[in-house]
Amino acid sequence: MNTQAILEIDGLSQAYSRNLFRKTQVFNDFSLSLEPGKIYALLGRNGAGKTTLLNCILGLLAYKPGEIRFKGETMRPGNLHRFLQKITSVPSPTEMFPTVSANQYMDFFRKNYDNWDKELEARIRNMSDFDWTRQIKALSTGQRMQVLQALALCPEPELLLLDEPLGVTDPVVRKYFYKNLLSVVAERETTVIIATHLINEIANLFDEALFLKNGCLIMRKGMAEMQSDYQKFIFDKLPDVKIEGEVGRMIGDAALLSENPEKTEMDLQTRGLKFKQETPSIEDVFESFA
Amino acid sequence: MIITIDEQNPVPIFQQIIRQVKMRVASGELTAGSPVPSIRELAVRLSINPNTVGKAFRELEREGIIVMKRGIGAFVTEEPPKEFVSGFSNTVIDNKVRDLVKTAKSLNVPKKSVIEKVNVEFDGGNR
Repeated sequence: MNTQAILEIDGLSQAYSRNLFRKTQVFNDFSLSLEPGKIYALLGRNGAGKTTLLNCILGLLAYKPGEIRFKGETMRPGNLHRFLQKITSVPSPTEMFPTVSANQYMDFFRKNYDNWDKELEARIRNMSDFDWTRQIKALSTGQRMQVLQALALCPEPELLLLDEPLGVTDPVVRKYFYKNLLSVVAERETTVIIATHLINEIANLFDEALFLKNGCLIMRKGMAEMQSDYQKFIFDKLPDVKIEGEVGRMIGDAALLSENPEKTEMDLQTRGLKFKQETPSIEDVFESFA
Repeated sequence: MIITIDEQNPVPIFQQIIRQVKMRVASGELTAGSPVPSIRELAVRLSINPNTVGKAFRELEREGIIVMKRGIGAFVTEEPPKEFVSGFSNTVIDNKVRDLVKTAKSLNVPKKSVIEKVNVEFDGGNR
C-alpha cells in the first residue's frame, strides 16, 4: 500500500490586503498532510479559511512563506499546469462563461486533459434532464453545477477539491452526485476534500474531518473517533457554570459536549443536576467547537 | 443481498454492516461460498465511504466469515466458524431480551405478563 502523502502543506502563510496599508492574515504557519484514497471533510464557520486553503492548493492565491507538495513534488507557479492535470475542482457556477454551451465546455476540457472517462461522462449526461447544446446562461444554477461536476470528475483526478459543491442543487442531483463521486473514489482511490456546511449529509462519506477555525486546524478526527471521544449531555436548562470535562455547548439544544464523560457525570451528580446522555452527531461536535 | 444502514443509530456504520452480514450468515440466508457485494457496489448503493465498507469487510475476513479474492470479490467462507454461528445468535437474543426486560421494568409491566406475550408471539409465528 502506498502511504506517501498525496498532499503536504508546510508552513503556509497567506494574507490578503484589505487596503494599501492593512492586511488580514488568513493562515500563519499552517501545516497539513493528507493520505491518498481518503475523503476529507473541510469544516469551519464562514470565514474560517476553507476557500482560501483550497485556492492556495489550486495555485489561485499566492502564499509566502510556505510550500505545498503534491506526491512529494513542490508546486510552483511555473510547474502548476502539470499538477492541474491531476487536481481538479468544482468552482462556483457564477464563474462560467455565459455564451459557451455545456457541450463546448465538455469538448474543451476533454481536449485539455490527458485522461477522460467517457463512460462516466455518458452516465452523468444520462441522468441529467437538460439539453447540453444550450448555452450556460440558459441553464439554471443546479444544471450548471451538473456540468461542473462532469468537468471535475471526468479527467480522472487524483485529488478532487469540492468547495460547497451542492449548495443549490435539488435532492436528486445531490444523490447522484455522491453516487458518482463514490464510484469514482472506490475505483481509483481518488483523494477528495469537501468543504461544506451540509455536515449531516456527508457524515457517512468522509474518513476524517478537518476543523478549521481562524486559519488554524483545531481538530482532525474520524467520525467514529468523534463519537467515541465525546459524549453529549442534554439538560432542561444549561448549567450556569463550566462543568468538568466540558469542551463546548450547543445553545439551541441546551446541551454540552464532554471529552471526559465520567468526570462530567460525577460533577453533574454532585451539583444535583438532571441530565440525559447521547452519542453526539457530527453537527453537535461542529457546533461545540466552531 | 440487501444491506441497509440506519443513520439515526449511534452504532458506527461499519459495525452495522458487520452485524448484518453476520446475521445473514447465521440465519443461513448467505450460504457457504456465496458472493457478497463488492466494496464499491455497497459504498455507492448506501452512499457511504468505500473505506468504511472496506473496514467492515476486513474485520469480517479477520473473523473468518468472508474471504476476499483480489479482483474477483468477496465470498462467504466455505466453512464459517461453528462457534460464530451459535455465539452470534446468542449475543443477538441476549441483547434483545435485555432491552425488553429493561423496557418492561421501566413501564412496570410484570414479568409474568412479558413471558406470556413472548409465548403468544412464538406460537403465533408457527401458524
